[in-house]
Amino acid sequence: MRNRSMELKEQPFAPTLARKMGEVAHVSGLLRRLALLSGAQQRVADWLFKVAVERGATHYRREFDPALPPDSSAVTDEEVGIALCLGEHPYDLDRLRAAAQLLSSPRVNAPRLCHLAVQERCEPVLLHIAGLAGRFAPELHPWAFLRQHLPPRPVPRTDVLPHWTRLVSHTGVSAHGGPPRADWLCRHE
Amino acid sequence: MNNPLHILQTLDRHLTVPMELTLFGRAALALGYAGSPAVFATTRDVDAILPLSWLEAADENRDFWQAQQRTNEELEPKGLYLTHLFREVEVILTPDWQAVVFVNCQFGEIKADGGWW
Repeated sequence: MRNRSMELKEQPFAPTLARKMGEVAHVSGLLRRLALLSGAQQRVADWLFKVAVERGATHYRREFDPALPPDSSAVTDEEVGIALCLGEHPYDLDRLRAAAQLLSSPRVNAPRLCHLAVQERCEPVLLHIAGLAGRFAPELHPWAFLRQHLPPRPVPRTDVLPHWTRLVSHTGVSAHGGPPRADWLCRHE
Repeated sequence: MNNPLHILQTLDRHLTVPMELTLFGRAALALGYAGSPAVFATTRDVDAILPLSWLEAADENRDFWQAQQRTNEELEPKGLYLTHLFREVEVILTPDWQAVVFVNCQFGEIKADGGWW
């Protein structure tokens, strides 16, 4: 009981992703639409995470509250990925990691993702992920497209974004007979 | 083509009830100041400030959010959008920002502010 009370008191002061990056968050109409459409309302961030895992961000699989609403076919992968990267969410890097794996798929519409990223001011997050992806899988879709076409929007800090070690799977020495290897986490199709 | 005007006229068409929207940035300069540089009218979006009292409305401003969604869907082929909406506490404003009104004869009453962030 004591822990729960502390959580509730501290929640309003949790820093947002935008604040961590040294910028301000906008009020996202996309997030409000998804909250309404899914029925998740105030729990839309948890719902987005669950949907990302169910759609293939399996590296982040965990137990989700069964009371969360089911996935909705009316919501695109691009919208889920972008909504997870919104600056108004409390700072939680797992959301960004799940977005990275969900969006690492040939099925993602890269121009649409770029358009949404600009509209929802997610360029710094997506270009950070795209830059890291370029080190491990230079041709990987949609990140190669983003590196070429998504205009950068500088923010004061990007060192608060996910470290590359958390976006790859580390292959041990014995697994394939060669040296250790780091493979980019692609969506489980 | 005046992009901010086009965006706001589209939004206006999708709204079913009147609302007040406070603009800032290039769109505000293009619409609120006669003789502003033509380049401001080429901006692809409209930035706006949302008062905290407005955000706390009992109906959650569903008419506006629905109109915003329809506006963005309609304007997507043209690359125009209305998504950069900021809470008043996130923008540096003058103390009397809510009282500063500029009138744009092309659209009606446009409120603009000289704030920045």
